[in-house]
Amino acid sequence: MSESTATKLTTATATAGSAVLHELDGVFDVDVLGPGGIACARTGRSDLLAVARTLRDSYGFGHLDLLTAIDNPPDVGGLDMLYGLVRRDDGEQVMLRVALAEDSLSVATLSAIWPAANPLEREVYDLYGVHFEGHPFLRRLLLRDDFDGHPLRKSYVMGEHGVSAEQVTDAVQSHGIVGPEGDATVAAFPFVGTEKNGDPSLRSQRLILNVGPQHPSTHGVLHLYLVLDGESVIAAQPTHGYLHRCIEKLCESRSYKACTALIDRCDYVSGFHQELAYMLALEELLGIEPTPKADYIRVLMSELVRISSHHTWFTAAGFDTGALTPFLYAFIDREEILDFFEAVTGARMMFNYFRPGGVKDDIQPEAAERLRAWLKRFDASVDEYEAMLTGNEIFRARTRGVGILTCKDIEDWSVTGPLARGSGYDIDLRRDAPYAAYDRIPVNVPLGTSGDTFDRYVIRVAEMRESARIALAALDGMPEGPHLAEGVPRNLRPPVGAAYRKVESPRGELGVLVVSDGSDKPWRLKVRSPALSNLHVAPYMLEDCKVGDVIPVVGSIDVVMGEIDR
Amino acid sequence: MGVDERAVRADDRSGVLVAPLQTLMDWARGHSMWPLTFGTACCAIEMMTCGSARYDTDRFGIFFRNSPRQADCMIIAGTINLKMVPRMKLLYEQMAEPRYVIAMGSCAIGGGPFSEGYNVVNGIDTVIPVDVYVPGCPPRPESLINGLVTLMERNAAGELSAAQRWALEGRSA
Amino acid sequence: MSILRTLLGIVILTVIVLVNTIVVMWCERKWMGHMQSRRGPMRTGWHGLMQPFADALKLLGKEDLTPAAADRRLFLIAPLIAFTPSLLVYAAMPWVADFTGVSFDVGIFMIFAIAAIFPVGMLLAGWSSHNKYSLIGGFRAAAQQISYEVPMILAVMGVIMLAESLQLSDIVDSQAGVWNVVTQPFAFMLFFIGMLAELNRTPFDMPEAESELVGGFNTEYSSMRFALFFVAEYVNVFTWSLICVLLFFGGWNGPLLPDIAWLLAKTYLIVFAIIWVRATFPRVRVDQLMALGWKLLLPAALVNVLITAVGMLTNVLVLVTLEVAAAIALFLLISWLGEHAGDKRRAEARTRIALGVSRQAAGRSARKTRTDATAAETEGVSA
Repeated sequence: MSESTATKLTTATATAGSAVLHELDGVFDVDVLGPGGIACARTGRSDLLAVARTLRDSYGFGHLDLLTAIDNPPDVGGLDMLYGLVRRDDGEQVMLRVALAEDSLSVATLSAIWPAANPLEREVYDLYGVHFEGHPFLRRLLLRDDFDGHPLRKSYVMGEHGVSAEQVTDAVQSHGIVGPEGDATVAAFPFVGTEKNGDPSLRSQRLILNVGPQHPSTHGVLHLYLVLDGESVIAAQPTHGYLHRCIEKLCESRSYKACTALIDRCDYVSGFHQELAYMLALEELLGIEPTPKADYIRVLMSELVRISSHHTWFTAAGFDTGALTPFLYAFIDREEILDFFEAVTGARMMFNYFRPGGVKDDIQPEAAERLRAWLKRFDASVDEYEAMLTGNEIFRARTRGVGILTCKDIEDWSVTGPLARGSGYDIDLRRDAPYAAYDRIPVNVPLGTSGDTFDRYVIRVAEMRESARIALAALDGMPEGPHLAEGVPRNLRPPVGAAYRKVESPRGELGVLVVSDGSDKPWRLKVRSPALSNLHVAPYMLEDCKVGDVIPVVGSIDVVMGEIDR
Repeated sequence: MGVDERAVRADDRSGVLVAPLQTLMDWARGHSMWPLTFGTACCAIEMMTCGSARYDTDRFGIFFRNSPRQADCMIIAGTINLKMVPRMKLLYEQMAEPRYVIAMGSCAIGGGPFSEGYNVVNGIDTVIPVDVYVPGCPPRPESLINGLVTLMERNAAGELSAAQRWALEGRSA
Repeated sequence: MSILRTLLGIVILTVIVLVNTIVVMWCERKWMGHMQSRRGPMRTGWHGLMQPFADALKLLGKEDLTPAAADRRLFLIAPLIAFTPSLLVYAAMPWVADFTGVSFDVGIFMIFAIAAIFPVGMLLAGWSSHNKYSLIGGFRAAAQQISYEVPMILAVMGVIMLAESLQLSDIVDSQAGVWNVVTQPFAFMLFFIGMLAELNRTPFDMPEAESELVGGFNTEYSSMRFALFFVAEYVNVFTWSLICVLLFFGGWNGPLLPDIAWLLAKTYLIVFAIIWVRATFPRVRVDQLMALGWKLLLPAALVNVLITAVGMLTNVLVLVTLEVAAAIALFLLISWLGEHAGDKRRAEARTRIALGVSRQAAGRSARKTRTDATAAETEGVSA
């Protein structure tokens, strides 16, 4: 983007991150653009790898948090690559920007430093057409292989009525796969398992199994490409994009307020988190403070939706291992939560409830009382449905010691959320970087020890109880006052700038990057999907697994395809 | 049996042997409906909720099957994009006749809020014949149950399915 | 005349069995429903009693599909191979004292032998479908069959030893005083586990394994051919419940009520137990199933033969004591194994993970202080 549209990221105080970048300034060609909530530096294309490596090795920025591109107006040409790095020791963030000219849209891949960059770079390649030099498997991530063009470029012209009938007809007639399939593709996969030692001539023929996109337990439209030796998994590769709905592109042609409706539909199981991250970023851009009461309502809603999201996961945990009844028990309680959402927001799933500066409606006292009574007996209900799985011998045998995720993989693949906490990796944004009213409500973070499917199960069940406690605390501690800040303009035109805010969603750190060019529509709206990064670590969790383990292990990642594909 | 034959038979109900048999079959089709578990997006969560204790589709004889071969009807619960649409078509073709399609939610009906997008199919009825449209974003579980029951009532009344109507009109799915 | 009589017998038996099968199907949906705090079928007939008829009739009217790549001949006969033995076993099945098709001297083994054909049908179905899910399902069926038939039949050895006969009516008569479930609880436990595996019911529904294999061996089957598998499965549920009652619950023995009423009442109690298990348990993994069958149940069944022999040499009291002790021991062993499943791998994982966590320690203590500071602030506010 040109200097005139958006150059600086955020406008908060100077931080340790910007100090680091200033230090680096002497070593590399780094132009510190801060000061900001997130320090941001421009670096040259040739220096990117060296800067990134120094930041990781010498300064401990071990997590690749964000990798995306921001396009420039077509008349300027070229685009900016944006890399967000996080230091887990203190939660510090820095960003790197690399400008790419229109005639050479290519940059070195970071996937050798952070494997997590692999799918994220594929996404940028897919949507922006940036070529990543040295990428091991540069292939479209979300769109069909035969898709024409790179839609997130500003120069890409969408058809007036969306997809044309001819495009649909063409799509129906072909599966859209271009290039080598089968063994040639498998060769590019990260091989996880090892064929058992012994006489190679005794090995059975490899079986390639496509699980999904329509499969009873792929949690939507996930497609897993499995390579099997009998019942043992040798390699796995998640494929997705079956639910890519152009949300980021469509937001660029919507007003800021209208974007909320689309954002809701990203992570359809926990819409409030998606809305909250967007509102936090938007408020930062606009310089609006939400009212104290709104902060509490936001916490209440976030925690309730976390419980309902975990209910959906709990259902899957049961189904994946073949137990039918947990679903029915969990959904009885889920309905109670949805009733409350419906009473307050008018919708069961697609809320469109958070507003810049607060929330749409106040909570009615009757609904609050009913909720309070339910929250108080929630622990007993959790006991009830835990009784079906936690102590069950078969469930334990199916999950304990299966699908182990190590801390190295967590750092390499930018894993966040319960998936990381199951391995004892102590991160939780609600406590580490409190937003909304979390700074006024203490949050306990349950941690696992072994990083297996069972630990992740235990963590999520503990989180349900903890969320109910936080929700009750938010309900009890809710101050009086207005639920919506006054003086928020009807038509939002944030000043030129960019803001990136993250919240702790049920799946991990969910971020929204909003870039404003001063008009009433966002120039770029990027959703950092925690499930996307979490999903791509799956092949490593499937080491030494059997076919029957695949579904429970992938289920324990708790993927929501809407958020992964957007 | 081919589609045409059945379409003709559904119109001609005067036969001595065929008529009672057809009545019996209509009764069966009106009381047993096995939808395919095929959820793509947000609507899938509400489709799941339909089976839960509060809504319990089992009461109506609606029983979800995983394999398209054994399913009677396909609930398109969610957005279908260009990558998914060949798979959807394939699943439809894998189902045994008589087969029905329910378009659940505005995405399946007409692309919904994503209809301007570069990757979303604007309504699945351009690709496969749709029997019942269930509007909403997402529709409530009650709406979906209503849609399913409507389909079953139509079967019980011996009405033609959308696939049969397409066949009579000479359109190919 | 005798041919007519035989034909009539076949028809009557088939009708009795199929009616019971339909009742079992209805029971499963209703009972499962109520266990899951919902109601099950309500609209088709009284409390959904006609639901299985509607389902079956609807399946009859559906298109019969054969996948283009399937091995057509095998694909078409596989459902018949699976379905036929499920009715054929009734040739040797005694209902009440004098209502038996053919009274074989080796009745019980006759029944086991015929029932063992069912998985062949599943294997053929899985192989011929040309579908990978079906293939894995079919192979699982075959593997499961071998692993469970052996311990199950060995468990029945105890019963046969006590009755000193292989004829089912003799086995039932031998229980006129005390049911075998009292003298052979250990054998009953092994038999029940083996029976669930034989039936491919939860927790051993590996060949179908809906969440893994879509539909397993029957994924590609539609219409009537699928119905044959479906019905065969429920016929088998009824059959094996009946066998279980004949072997362990005194068959038709019971006071006051007519024999057949006792038999059916006991049978449906076992059906209830099978459905109860389905509503409660997850599914085991295929290698765990093998390990359980070969490493635990097979030795246990041999131990049961030994205990029965000792009991027959001494007296009934010793037999009952030993059997109960063995049953409790097996129960505790399985519980212990479940409780500590994966412990070794978890311990390994902990050491692997610990390496990564230590790098975080500094950061965590930094965060702790910050949380404390926040807590102090909060207190300040509330004060």
